[in-house]
Amino acid sequence: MSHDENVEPKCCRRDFLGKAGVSAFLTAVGLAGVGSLVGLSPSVMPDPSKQFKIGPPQDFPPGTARVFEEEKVVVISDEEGIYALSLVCTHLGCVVTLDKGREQFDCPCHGSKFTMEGMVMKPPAPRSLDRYEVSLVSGGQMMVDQNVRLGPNEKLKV
Amino acid sequence: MFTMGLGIALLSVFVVLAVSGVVLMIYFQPSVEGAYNSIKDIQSVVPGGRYLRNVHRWGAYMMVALVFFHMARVFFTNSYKGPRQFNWVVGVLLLVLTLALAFTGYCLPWDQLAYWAITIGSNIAASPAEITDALGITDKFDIGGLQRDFMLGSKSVGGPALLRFYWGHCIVLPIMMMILMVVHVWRIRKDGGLSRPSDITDDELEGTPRDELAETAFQQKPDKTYGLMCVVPDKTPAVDRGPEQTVSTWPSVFYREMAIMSLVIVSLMLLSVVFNAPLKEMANPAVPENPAKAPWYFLALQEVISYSAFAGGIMLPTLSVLFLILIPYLDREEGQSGRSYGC
Repeated sequence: MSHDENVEPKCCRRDFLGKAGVSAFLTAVGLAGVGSLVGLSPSVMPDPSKQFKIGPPQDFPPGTARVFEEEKVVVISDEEGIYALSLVCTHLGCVVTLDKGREQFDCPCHGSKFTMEGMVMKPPAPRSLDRYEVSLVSGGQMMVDQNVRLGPNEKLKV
Repeated sequence: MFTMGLGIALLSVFVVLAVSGVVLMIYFQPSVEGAYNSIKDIQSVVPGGRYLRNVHRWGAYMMVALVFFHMARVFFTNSYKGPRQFNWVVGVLLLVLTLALAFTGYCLPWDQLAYWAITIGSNIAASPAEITDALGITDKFDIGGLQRDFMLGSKSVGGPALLRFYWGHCIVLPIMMMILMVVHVWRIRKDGGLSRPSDITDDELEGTPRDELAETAFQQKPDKTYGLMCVVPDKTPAVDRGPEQTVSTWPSVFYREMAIMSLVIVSLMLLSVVFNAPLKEMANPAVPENPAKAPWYFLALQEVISYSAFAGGIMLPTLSVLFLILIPYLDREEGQSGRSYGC
């Protein structure tokens, strides 16, 4: 068989072995990298409990709005019932302040405003304040559970 | 002369930041209880600590500023064009790393600015929820929440977040930066040396000492391949060109680079003697910093963020970086590299 020395074979064994080696290395590094990413997300989050007791319903007559600073929650009572709103602005996580005179929540960072029901009055907040479940537990106490989010206007009837 | 020495100035600042950062690590405690107090200790108890922290903070600002100037110089002198496209891309990645280092470092003192910067940063990370909420798929595919968990290691801003920022700032990002810097400098050599016009006139070289070594050290048309050439087309450092008016690295360029390095270090030292690095009150999760002002290099983004976290925090930066990366590939105009427009 004649062999033209100027024409290199398109693939040869050495090329194949080299490429296979590089591919295997990159695959191993890639998989190890992706595998390591899993470790960045802990399976149990180190946060404090998201449930806390707030006292009996009679401590919250209609017209009450009590702020729980550490939990960043406000518990409000009106004629229709009792409900808990998050004080964390849905825009960028600043803590909103309660303006009792105007009956609204103001965010100091970017000027979002919310009604006493948590609805957005003024953007940039993209959605209303989170509303958490309030329930009656043993001993006549009420408990706020920040793991359970409720829809708008859901309140605990007492 | 044609590069304004901005690259070496950046390298100098990086070295200063690395050295001062390593020393600061001796005293800094990456915990919610310890971080702020250890910074206070560095400011008032550690001998020379206040000065060291000033050097680190002003060095960081200087680095961000120099990166912008360096990119502007490369852009306006057409130096991103072939064969330097790849090095431009590496440069853009270095810009991203510089900003990431600046942001993570800014968050470590655990003062009011740090706490609220992490809070806002984590909400930006979670902001793809604006899109997934609109599509109604957040329950099944919460990419925003996942990003926030990666960043904070928790559902709220606290110790795990601080530790992650510390780890990123002191280990991961600097290592990535050093690897890319090595590639960046290596590519300068591969792409034909420092960017310069091909038609330098004798007038422009007035005052530049003639380097006799260069006349003999280089062949007019090198005909052999150098090492590490496998991924670069053609044979010579400057493809198809001889070394016109070449100045050799040793000693001519080296002396100039040392001069720039000294200038940068001296100005940084003076700055640090005169001005103190800012430190706010200790972080208070109940009271947002008002106004919560981002450092100057993020002010433009902060303004957009005030309208939409996703648009300003994720979409705009991603598109900008993509656009920057694509510049040399989109620009098909032929042009003389090494000179700014019009001169």
